[in-house]
Amino acid sequence: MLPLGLLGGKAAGANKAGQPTAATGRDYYLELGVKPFINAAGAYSALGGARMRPQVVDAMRYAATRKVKMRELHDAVGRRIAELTGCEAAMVTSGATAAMVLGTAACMTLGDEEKMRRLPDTAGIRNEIIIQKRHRYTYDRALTVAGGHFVEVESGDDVRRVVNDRTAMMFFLKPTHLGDDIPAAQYVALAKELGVPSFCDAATTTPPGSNVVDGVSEGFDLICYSGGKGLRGPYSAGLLLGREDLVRYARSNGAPNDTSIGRGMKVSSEEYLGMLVALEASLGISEEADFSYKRERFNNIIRQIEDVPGVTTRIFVSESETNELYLDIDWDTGITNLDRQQFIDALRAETPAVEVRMLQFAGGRIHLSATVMDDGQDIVAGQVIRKVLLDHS
Amino acid sequence: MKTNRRHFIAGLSVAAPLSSLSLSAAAAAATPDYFADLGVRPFINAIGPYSSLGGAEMWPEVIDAMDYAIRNKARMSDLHDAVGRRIAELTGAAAAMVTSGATCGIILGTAACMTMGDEEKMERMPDTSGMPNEVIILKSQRYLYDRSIRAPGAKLVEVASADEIEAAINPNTAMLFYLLNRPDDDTIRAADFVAIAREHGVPIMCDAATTVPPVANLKGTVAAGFDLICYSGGKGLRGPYSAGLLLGRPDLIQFARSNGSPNHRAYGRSMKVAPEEYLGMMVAVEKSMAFDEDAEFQRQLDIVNAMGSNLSGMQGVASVTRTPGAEAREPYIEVHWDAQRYRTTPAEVKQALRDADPSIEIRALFLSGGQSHLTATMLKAGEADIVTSSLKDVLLAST
Repeated sequence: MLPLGLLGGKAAGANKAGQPTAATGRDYYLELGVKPFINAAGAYSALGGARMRPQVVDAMRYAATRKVKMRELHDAVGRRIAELTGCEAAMVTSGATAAMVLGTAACMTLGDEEKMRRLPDTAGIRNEIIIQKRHRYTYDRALTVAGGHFVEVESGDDVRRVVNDRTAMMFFLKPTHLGDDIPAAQYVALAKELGVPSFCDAATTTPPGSNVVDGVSEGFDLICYSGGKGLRGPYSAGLLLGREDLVRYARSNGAPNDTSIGRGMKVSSEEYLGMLVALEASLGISEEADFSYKRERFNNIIRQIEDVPGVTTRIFVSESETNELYLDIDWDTGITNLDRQQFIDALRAETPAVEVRMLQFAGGRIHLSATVMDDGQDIVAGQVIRKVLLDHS
Repeated sequence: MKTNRRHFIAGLSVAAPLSSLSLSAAAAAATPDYFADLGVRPFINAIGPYSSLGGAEMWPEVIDAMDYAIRNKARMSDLHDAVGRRIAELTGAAAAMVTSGATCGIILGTAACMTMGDEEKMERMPDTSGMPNEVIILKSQRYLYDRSIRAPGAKLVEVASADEIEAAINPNTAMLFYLLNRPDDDTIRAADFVAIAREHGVPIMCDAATTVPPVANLKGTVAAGFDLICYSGGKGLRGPYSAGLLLGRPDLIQFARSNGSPNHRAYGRSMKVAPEEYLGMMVAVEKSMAFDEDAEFQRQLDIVNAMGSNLSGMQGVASVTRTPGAEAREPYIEVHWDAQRYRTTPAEVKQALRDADPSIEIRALFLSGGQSHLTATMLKAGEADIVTSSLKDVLLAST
């Protein structure tokens, strides 16, 4: 039995784009002409993030209809997340990027109100962020938003040489494809020795949720996670965990404080509570359970296409800090006249459309992810893939 | 309205098991009482829909739409395009986007005016050397939230008259800023400010965050010719808490979008707006624009008047009903008492009500010029009586 709204127009046999709403029966995407799709790519922000667990949606609904004071909620949820993950203090941010902006602001201003008001003007404020050259990446942009400047290093000796009274923070990224010149443990020890706060962006290192607990135990002064991806929390939510004083300073730099630099990064009470429930749920689910759910989705796809001549499929675990299960699909171009980009374009043109992982993330191959796939969408995705392959055979 | 809400919530809990995992049925059947578990106390809101108190009550249809967006995934760019078009149609603006709140609207709008789509400049903010980064603002309109204009690296240039505006405009001017409905401000009329901006070809942004209700104001403000206007979504429009609107010129809206989420290296990448917030905001605008505000105003007026006459029945207590017109259209009562008889101050009363069981929030101190104000916007059925009897208890305890 397929969930109704996930099929798109043709398959559902009615003029529908999504599953209409419960109370008003409206089908907004149909009204708006927005094309729904099956996400076999992963929890990318541009594709709407993760699939929230039902209890997360339920918690959000709970919070949406019961008003409480934001500060009390922030305190209580922060305490609970700290208990769950083993850190001193925690806050929910409007995403991992916001955690980086607020964490940087905290380390630069250390609670000094005059400095906080003046950001992003950091003249006369500690504003140098030490970063390993190999850790420069797309999202390091967030570290400059509050007025930070990069100082690149390639060795422990470099760190000792560049650290000075303008150093605000030592930044660490994990995981990197390029590796680390200074491994995490050594970097943390060096930061402690030099008295500089260390910050780790671990946004993409879940699932499993237990990686959050492991990450915290490595001893960074601050560590951040994306909420709306591997942890399957709200789309515009993330976690900032770490030292009590630094998390407090980060909170001062954020919403709902009226004159903070981060006032624009609002987090609603439903997102605050939803993030907590998402974390609780993630910590209670093993990697095996997660993989077995995904394997079942992949097997349902494979069953739809395995008899197409020349097609090969392979389920595999990616080799990085985050163990993720993928489905690799390939075909004999002598039988099916499609290159991989044409295949992606053809899937996008179908109704419902199917998105697979971008080629550059999949080493130029076709990889599917089941992380945002609902039970039932697998079969539909398989049917669409089968149709595209046969259409070109 | 109350009946609708109950019906709506019942409808949602029936629908919940349609979600994917088998966990859903159990979860929907017995939602834990999260706030009680966390020790977060409920309270009676007689002060209004402030951000720090969780904002306004969303329209039930907004929650319904958010539920839809959670269950149905769309590409963010498709959703942003379609919702933007629809909100523009509804409001009469040339273009529109949903932001993570009015503050975000100010930040992204300022960033748009400083960088005008230039990628190198966008990448460099908040370092704004070598690009127009001055924002002209009236001295009389400096306020709490002008801080957000500086967030992406702009500098404020204060002026006190039309002549000073003209004198201040130079090649480094990125934007003129106008705060709508500043009480007691007659330095310059909005129309004249807009005319100066036009004449000099400088974009003008208007913060209209607090000017709804009445929503009727919205179309008038759009028609006034500002290049960008920002609104709060989670207050007068009763949309999602962390949502707002930025309306205006298509080129500037496009530049503002480029500076925001989900663009990876955008200055505003951190100000994420969830798909459910995007769609929910659209439905909030639809609902608000079709809503009978006069009836709502009368409903609130009846409640505050009843509270007022109840309180005035006490010896030495007087209540005055206020119905502010142009600013946020929210009737309220101002409560005065004989300081000889009741030896307590508005600040002490506010604190005593906060400490009462159930906890009650009322307006006092700087937001109300030190006076005690009661509003009905957020009061639920039966709460008005609790507020008045608690307030009476607090006053009597001071004698």
